[in-house]
Amino acid sequence: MITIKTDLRRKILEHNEDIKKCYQCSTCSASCPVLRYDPDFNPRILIIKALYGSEDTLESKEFWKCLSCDRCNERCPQGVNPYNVLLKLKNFLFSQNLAPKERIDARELIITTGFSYPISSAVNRKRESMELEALESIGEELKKIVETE
Amino acid sequence: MNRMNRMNRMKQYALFTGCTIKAALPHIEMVARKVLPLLDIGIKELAFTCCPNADFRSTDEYSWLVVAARNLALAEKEGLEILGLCPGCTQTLREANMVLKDDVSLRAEINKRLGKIGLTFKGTTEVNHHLVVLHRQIDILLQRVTIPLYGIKLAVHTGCHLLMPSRIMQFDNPEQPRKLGELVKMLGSTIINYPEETLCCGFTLFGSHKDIASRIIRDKVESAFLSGAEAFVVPCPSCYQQFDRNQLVAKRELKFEYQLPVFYYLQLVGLAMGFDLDEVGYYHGRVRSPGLEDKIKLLVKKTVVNL
Repeated sequence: MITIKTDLRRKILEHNEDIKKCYQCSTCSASCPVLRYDPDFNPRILIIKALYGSEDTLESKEFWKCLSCDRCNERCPQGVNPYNVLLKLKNFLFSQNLAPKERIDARELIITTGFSYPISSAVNRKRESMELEALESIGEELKKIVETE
Repeated sequence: MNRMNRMNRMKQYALFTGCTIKAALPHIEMVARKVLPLLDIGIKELAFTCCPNADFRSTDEYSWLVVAARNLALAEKEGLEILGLCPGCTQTLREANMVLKDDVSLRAEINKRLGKIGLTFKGTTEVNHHLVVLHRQIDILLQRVTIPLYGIKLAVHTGCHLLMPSRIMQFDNPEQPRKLGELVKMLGSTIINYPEETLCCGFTLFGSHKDIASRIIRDKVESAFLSGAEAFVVPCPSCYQQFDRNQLVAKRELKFEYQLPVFYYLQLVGLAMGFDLDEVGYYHGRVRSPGLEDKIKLLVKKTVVNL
């Protein structure tokens, strides 16, 4: 049984008007490469739970299994854009400090260095052997535009 | 045509290499820098950061847009269009570009942030993956092929982000992509159809859910191998890593029989232009196929008949 949480429902709908158009046809689920390999990840169910503001929506770890392939967005006949709904829910989790640590660390790495991969001397030696310029951290500018406080 | 004339005629682009290639697959950057100018595509390096990627977007879409806007504004400042080596980066930048060109109030807000570092987003640049540009100037590519890759049987994997969302990427049909296949055929090689062609490579989950990602690799490799492919060809560094290093991990864990090496499309272009396997960085790949290597070494120069 789904317990509806009105506050959360309102909050989710505020940023996801399109979600109301979902008629639970399962096109997203049938198109999802993750569901094919792991039935616990079911975009259709994640969408209906989000639509109802179901309490366990935000406790679900399933969100983070999305491959971000965009196939569900592409095929959704209702323009719900399930991938984007999941993105907004993940953003909400992040704002509540509920995102997995590896996502928070990965974000921090980009903001501090400008790159999503750690820059090591091994990488730069390899680049040098191919006559490519060494990588240098260029994160300072990002700090200025991303962090507003 | 002499070199100077060609240099003048060449359109310049801001090369968006992306973090994965820069830090994990520099041999792909090497081959791109070698091959693109020979196809009349001039490239310039700017101080780009991560595009940023979908993981970053999953934490905070607004910051994602701000960082993408900075990259776009850098290219605008130089008066250059962006040429992507990675479909993921290309998708991020195309989407951000579209959103900011369209939504003027959001643009004004974002520009306040960019103002702190002396940049402005004006909406004057375009972003394309290099395959889009190569496809537009197919005649130049054809002229440069000196050693056609006859008899090399390839499984084409276009991946996801070069295709979708199609309203943003506007490149090919996501349900039945064919343009990368066409580009591969232009080099003389044969493309084989395989049942799992449009299945995502699963790269994003390799770090966090290796079991899922590995089974995807197994199904892709098995399907392509049993259909007669000798290698994969991809336009994407993430797919490349998934079919290269990660294929070996998946193979060890799931104990499947087959394996297939992978080429980034520009590596094949390099081979067809006369560079050898070493010069296109093939030996930096982890999955090898001695049989295919021998076949490539035996390819011969195209006979030019002047009538």
